[in-house]
Amino acid sequence: MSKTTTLFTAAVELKAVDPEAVTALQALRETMPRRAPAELRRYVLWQVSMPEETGASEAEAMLRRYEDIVNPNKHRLIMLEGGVEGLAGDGLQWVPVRVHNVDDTVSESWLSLLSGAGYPVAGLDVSVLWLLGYPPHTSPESAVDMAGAAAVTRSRREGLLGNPVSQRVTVGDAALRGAL
Amino acid sequence: MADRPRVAVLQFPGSNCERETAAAAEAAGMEAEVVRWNLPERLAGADAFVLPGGFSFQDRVRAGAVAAKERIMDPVAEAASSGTPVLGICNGAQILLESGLVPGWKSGTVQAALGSNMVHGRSGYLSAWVHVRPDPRAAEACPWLCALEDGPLPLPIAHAEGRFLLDGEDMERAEGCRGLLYCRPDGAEAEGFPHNPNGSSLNMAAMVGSGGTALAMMPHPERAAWMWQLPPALPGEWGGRRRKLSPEELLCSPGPGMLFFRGLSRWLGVGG
Repeated sequence: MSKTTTLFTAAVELKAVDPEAVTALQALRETMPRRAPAELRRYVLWQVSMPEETGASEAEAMLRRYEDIVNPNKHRLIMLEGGVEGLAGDGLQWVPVRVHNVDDTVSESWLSLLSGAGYPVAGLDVSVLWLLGYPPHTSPESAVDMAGAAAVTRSRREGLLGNPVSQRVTVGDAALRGAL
Repeated sequence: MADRPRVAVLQFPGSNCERETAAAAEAAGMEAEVVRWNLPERLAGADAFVLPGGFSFQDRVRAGAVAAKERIMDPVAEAASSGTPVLGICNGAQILLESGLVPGWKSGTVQAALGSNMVHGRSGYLSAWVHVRPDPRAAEACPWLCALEDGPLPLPIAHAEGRFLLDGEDMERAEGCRGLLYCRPDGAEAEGFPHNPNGSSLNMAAMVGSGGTALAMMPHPERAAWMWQLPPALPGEWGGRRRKLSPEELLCSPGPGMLFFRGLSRWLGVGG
C-alpha cells in the first residue's frame, strides 16, 4: 500500500423520507422551538482513506458492493467533494452536524471486513451527518449557534442529536473535515 | 382495592414489556396501570413509576433520546425530584439517563450515557442471562433494591446499548451510585466478558440517582419474576433452587426479579 492516501467521503441517504429525521425535527420543535431548524436531513457519512492513485469511482464501487452500506432499493449514495453543496439545495442556511460514537465498533468492523476482502483501505470512519436548514435570512453565525444548541444534549429541554458523554459532536465546517 | 399503592407503567410507542412489568407489580401487592405516553394526566396520584423495556420511538436518533423529551416525562421528573420511586428497565434506563434523572447530580442535566456494548472481540446486540448483586451502599436507601438478598441474582439482559458511561472526572462519585454490579454466578466480582456482558464502567448493571429512589437498570426483573422463567441449566444458587421445584411449584414460585417489586411494595407500606 502506498504511503500517501486520499480521503473519499460518501453520504448515504434514504430515498424515502427519513423517519429518524422526521422524529428528531418534531422533538426539536417541541422542546426548543426557537432554535429548531426549518428542515432536518440525515445521512450516514462514510469516509475512507485509500492509496493516492485510487479513483473516486473505485471507492464508490467498493461501497456499493455491500448492500449493508448502500441498498439500491432504498438508499442513494452521493460522493462528496468539499462541502455539503452536493447534498443541500439552495434556499436555506444549512449547517452540518456530525455525530460519532466515541467507541466506534462499526467503523472497526467495516475496516476489518473491507481489508479482509482485499480492498486497500488505510482507514475508515462511519458517522451520522445531520444537515440543519435555517431560514435564508438567518445569519451564518446565528445558524451555527442554533445548530450547536440543537446538536448537543445537555438536558431534557436542550439538544438532541448527540449525547456528549458517549458521542463526539462537531458543528459547522469542522463537521466535514476528515476524521481519520 | 383502593388502598393499594398505585404504580404507573409508562408505555411509549415501541415499549414492549409494559404488560409483564405491570403484572409483576400487581403480584407484589400493588395496583399497576399501563399509561400511554400521550396521556400524562393519567399519572396523577401515582405512588411510583416504571419505564419498561422495549424500543421507544424505534430507538430513533439514539435509544431513549426521544422519549426523554416527551411531555409525560415532566411529571415523572417532578415526582422523582421529591423522592417518588422511579424504575427504568433497559430502554427505560436509557430514557432515565437521557432525561438527566439518573445520575441526577446536577438536576436535569445529562451526565451519563448507555453506550454500545463493547467487550474485547465482541459488539452488538446481546441476549443472555447474567448475575448481578446489589451494592450495599445504594441498596438500603433504594426502594427497588431494599428487598434483594446479598447473594448474586440471575436476571436476563437483551440490549445493544447497555454500557454505562460517564465522563472521566465523574467516575469516582459514580462508585457511590452503583445500584447493581455484574458478578460471577458465585458472587465474585466480574472480570470482563461474559460476566460483565457489555463492558460497562465499574461493572455497573444499574445506577441509582435522584436521592436514591430512581434506579436505571439494564437487566429485566420482570422476565425473572417467576421461577418458571429461569432456564433449567442456570448456574448458581437460584439455578439450584429452580431445579428442586416440582412442576406445580415452578409455576407459582416467585423468582429473583420479583424482589425488586416486593422491595417497592414494602417501601410503600404493603409488605408484599
